[in-house]
Parts: sequence; structure tokens; C-alpha cells
Amino acid sequence: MELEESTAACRGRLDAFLRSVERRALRMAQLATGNLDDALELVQDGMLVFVRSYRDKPESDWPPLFWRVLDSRVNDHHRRQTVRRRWRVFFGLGAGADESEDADPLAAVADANAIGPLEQALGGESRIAIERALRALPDRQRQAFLLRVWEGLDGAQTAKAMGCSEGSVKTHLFRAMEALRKHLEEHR
Amino acid sequence: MSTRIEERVRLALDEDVASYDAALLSRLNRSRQQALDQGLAGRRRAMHSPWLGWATATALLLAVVLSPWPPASGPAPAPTMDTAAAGEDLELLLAADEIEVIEDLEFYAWLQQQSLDG
Repeated sequence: MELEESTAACRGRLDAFLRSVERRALRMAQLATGNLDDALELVQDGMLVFVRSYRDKPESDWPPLFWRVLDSRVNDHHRRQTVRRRWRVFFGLGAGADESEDADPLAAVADANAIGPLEQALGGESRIAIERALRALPDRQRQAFLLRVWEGLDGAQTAKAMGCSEGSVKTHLFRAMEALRKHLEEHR
Repeated sequence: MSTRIEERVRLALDEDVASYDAALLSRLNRSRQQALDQGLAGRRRAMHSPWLGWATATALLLAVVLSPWPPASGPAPAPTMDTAAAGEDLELLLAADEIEVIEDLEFYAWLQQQSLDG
């Protein structure tokens, strides 16, 4: 009986936490993959790994843990895409993409000029320019920017979520800001 | 101190996620409930089953071993892939969980250090 109550309470807390981050997680994954279905799959997979691995950790630890899992899933997605392309080329099935087989998977980004369904629905040149500017950023720069500026993680939490040093986060963030400023000023 | 660019991007992203339609929110909700059901039950997804992983690895290795080298026909010249690269690919496809375990250990060492420092 107590165990059931404990499990229900745990589920309630996890549900509330995941509900609080899921929309932003989906948006970040969509910016990284350029595909809504892939993004949904990554978010669900990330949620599953998070629940399975970290449900008993203190709630204050959950945000950096969740973003670390999702970041890992996104990086893994890019690597797998690269591997699949390489094997498709090897078996003469065509690359199915315009990237070379030795491209850096972590630097791979979605089509910078593609407009997502949300942007089409929402319209507005400014919104479209922001979407394109974010997609044009290298993955690491975009991730540093979104985690620091949008999600509000501090430098140390962002560094651990991304698996790099705080100095690298600062560098990625600085470059992201410069690129965004340049891109958005050009599209005023 | 946040800059104008930061504010502009943050506002646009906030508006984006606030405007998700009912169908998308329903899919997100289903994904969350499924993750909670499976995660709390301690079940592993079928795709992560070690049997499926080994079956995939075996099938890929057989395909490499049995395929003509280079392929005998086809209009385009066959690209080459050395066995080391193929091995790396297989390792990459199968090793995600092990990487996670290593990363988790590292991460908890950091969390512990944070609490000691704090």
C-alpha cells in the first residue's frame, strides 16, 4: 500500500517535471534535427532514459540530468544518421543527403533555409529569420545558447549538460551570440 | 545582463512553444505517459534489447563478408569502407548505453563536488 502511494507520488513529481520541460525540449530537438517526428522520438526516448535512470535522484538535480540525456540523444542521432548514410553509400543506395561521408556528425545541422511548419503557421519575417539563424548555428553553439539563455541553466550546469568545460560553453555562447547578431541584423 | 538579441530570440521561442496545437500537445502527452509507464516499470525498450543489437551486428557483419568486394555491377564506382571504419560504426550503433553509464558516473562525481563546494 505504502509502496503504491510512493510510486504514485514519484510518478506525479516526474510527470510535473517532464511537463514543465517537454515543449522546450521538443523545440530544441526540432531545431537540431529539422524534423518534428525525429524530434518527438528523441524527446520520448530522452524522457524514458531520464525516468529509468534518474527517478530516484533529488529533484533539484533533475534539470541538468534531463538536458544531459537529451543532448546525448541528439548527438547520438546525428552520429547514427552519419553511419546510416555511410552504409547507404557503401551499398550503392545513395547518400540520401547532401553531406559528405566524412562530415563531422556533431557539426551537422538541419537545412538552415528550411522553414518549419510552426513558422509557416505563425508567419512573420522576424520569426522566420530567428528560426533560420538558430538552425544555421553549429549544434554546440545552438545548444549552449538555448540552455543558457532560454532554459536558464548556469555555466556549470550547461557545461555538464553538454559534456564540456565551462570555458567551452562561454566560447560557444559568445560565438552563437555573434552569429545570431550578425544574422538578425542582416534580416531586419 | 541580457541583450536585445537574447530577448528577441527568447520571446520568439516562448511564443513558438506556447502556440503548439492540440494534436502536437496530445502527442507530447502520450510520449510522456509512455515514458513514465515504461520507465517506472523498469522495462527496457525493445529496440535496446541486447538480442536485437547483436542480431543487427551479426546481420551487418554477414552483409560485409558476403558482399562482392568491390561490388561486381552497378553504374557507379563502389566506395570503399575499411573494416576498421565498419567496426567503429557497429560499435557506435551498439554502445550508446555503455557511454551513458560512463557519463553518469562522471556526472555524479561532479554533482557530489558541487554539493561539497556549496
